[in-house]
Amino acid sequence: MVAASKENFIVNDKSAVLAPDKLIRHVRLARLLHWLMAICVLVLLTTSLLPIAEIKFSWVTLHWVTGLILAVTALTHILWSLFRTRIRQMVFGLRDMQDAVRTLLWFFRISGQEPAKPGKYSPAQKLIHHGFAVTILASIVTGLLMMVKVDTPLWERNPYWLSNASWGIIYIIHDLASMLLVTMIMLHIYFAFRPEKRLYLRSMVLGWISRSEYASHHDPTRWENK
Amino acid sequence: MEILRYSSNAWGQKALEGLSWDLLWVFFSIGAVFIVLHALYMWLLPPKKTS
Amino acid sequence: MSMKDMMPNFELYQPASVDNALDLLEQFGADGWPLAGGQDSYDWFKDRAKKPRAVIDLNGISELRGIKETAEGVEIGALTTLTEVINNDIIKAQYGLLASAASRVASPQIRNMGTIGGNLCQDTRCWYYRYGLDCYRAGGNTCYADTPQGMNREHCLYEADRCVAVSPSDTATAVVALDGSMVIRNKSGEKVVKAEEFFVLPAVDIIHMTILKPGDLLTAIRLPKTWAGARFYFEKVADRNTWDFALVNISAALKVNNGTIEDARMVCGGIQCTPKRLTVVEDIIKGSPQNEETAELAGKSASRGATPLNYNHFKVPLMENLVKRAIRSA
Repeated sequence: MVAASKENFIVNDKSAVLAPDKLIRHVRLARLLHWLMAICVLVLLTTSLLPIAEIKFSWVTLHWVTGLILAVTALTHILWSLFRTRIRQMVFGLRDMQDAVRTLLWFFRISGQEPAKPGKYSPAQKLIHHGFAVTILASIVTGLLMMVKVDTPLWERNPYWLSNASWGIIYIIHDLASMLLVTMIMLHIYFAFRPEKRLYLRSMVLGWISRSEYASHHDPTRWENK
Repeated sequence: MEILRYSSNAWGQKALEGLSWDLLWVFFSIGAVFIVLHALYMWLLPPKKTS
Repeated sequence: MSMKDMMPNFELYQPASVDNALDLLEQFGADGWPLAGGQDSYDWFKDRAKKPRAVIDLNGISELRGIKETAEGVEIGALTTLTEVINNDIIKAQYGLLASAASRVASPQIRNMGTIGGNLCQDTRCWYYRYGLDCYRAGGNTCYADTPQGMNREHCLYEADRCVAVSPSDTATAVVALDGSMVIRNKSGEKVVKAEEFFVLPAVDIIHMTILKPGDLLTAIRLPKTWAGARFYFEKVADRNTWDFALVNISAALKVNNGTIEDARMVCGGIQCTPKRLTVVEDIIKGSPQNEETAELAGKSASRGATPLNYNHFKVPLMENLVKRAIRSA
């Protein structure tokens, strides 16, 4: 374990000792980016879906401005993850696949063998992250293309930049991503509030998990060595 | 229930608009059903960890 | 859209009472189409751009016709024809602004058949939308008018939000200027909505021009006594003196005392998707003398915030000049 220092506290992703019984799971920047992206996604879904549910208000400008904020935040997260943190912690490999199968068999009582403790992220957490990554990136990319339909000081709106057929595909991807996000957010919030998973919600708010939670839920060698 | 939304373009041809909004209820329901089933399972038959 | 001038099939219902009409409107919901004079509806049907399953002909409902004085002002049944409004003694004497506006609608034949309710509720005339193209207003994903190549000479100066169509109604500007209210009924009951709030901007609802939902029926228009007998000015500028929709029109109601404008309501049409109340102009002229100087100042301020499209820049000086004339000549 690396002792926490002021510089490390913000960006260093090594699991540092915060106090004798606590250690950092998510540093401040990670939490900030997570909650900023979460708020953006919720605002985006609300502004787009409420008018469809016949709750009418002026939503378009709020929607694309929030979309741009999400794009910048997501890009920051991606660059930070690539260059400053151990990205291998999030890679879903063969061992994760085996752990996932073992977890399902144990969960449904088909097998009595308990799944192995994961590293920093369990297979389920990795999968939900990748699911969010794909859907949010798909909606950002298609949303940025739709910006060509908005008059800005930098360009005049021009829907003919793409053909009708191309726009149709873009809208389908954007619509599908948003609908998948509805399901995933429901599951994500549900699991965050489950009693046995609440330590992760706390760690995303306050940054730490306890030493006993660390020992009981994770394999230190898998956490540290990735 | 439709899956896709269509309209006519300037030449009277069928043009793809996007996904049907009826699907929103499908995705919402999948989430809701999963949550309910998982919650019931964990309440009635929680798998027990020995370690 | 391949065939014109041949209406698609629909079921025709001819209720004899408002309650019966509301039953039918609720039954059919978005598939039902209330029909008054038909001067807007038949175009849609013949072009096959709108194909309702059921048309609910309101013309047999006598309680929707007529103009009567009330304690608060006057109430005009939504099915009152424009010609009846023009020729009514109460309207001519006290609400001449509405008579002037109604007299400039379309042509005499259309005014004989067209109703004031229909004129207020009519859909926009953007030619791309009217042709049946899949624009935002038609439920699609684009606007053909607001593009580098779009023919948008008759489109808006203000509140362009994905849709740049304008409100085509002449009587709408007059009703708003007279601080009128709309009486809307549905199966749940009746509500009265200020005329300004009756019309909807595309930012809020890009598909509808008014707040009417399936099942709603506009039954009457109420004009309060507040502006009865004030000084009025209406002018409509169109390509031709008959039949054409306004490029820009203006309705002004002024209360002038000893040459000073005490209060004013000025509304412009043809520049926004709803009748645009010129609150900046009203604030400037209140308390000012009714003279050339006030008119000049008001004219210059009228077009503040306008964002012309590629082909409708002429509407800016047109609007300014109409404001000047309204103040000078009311």
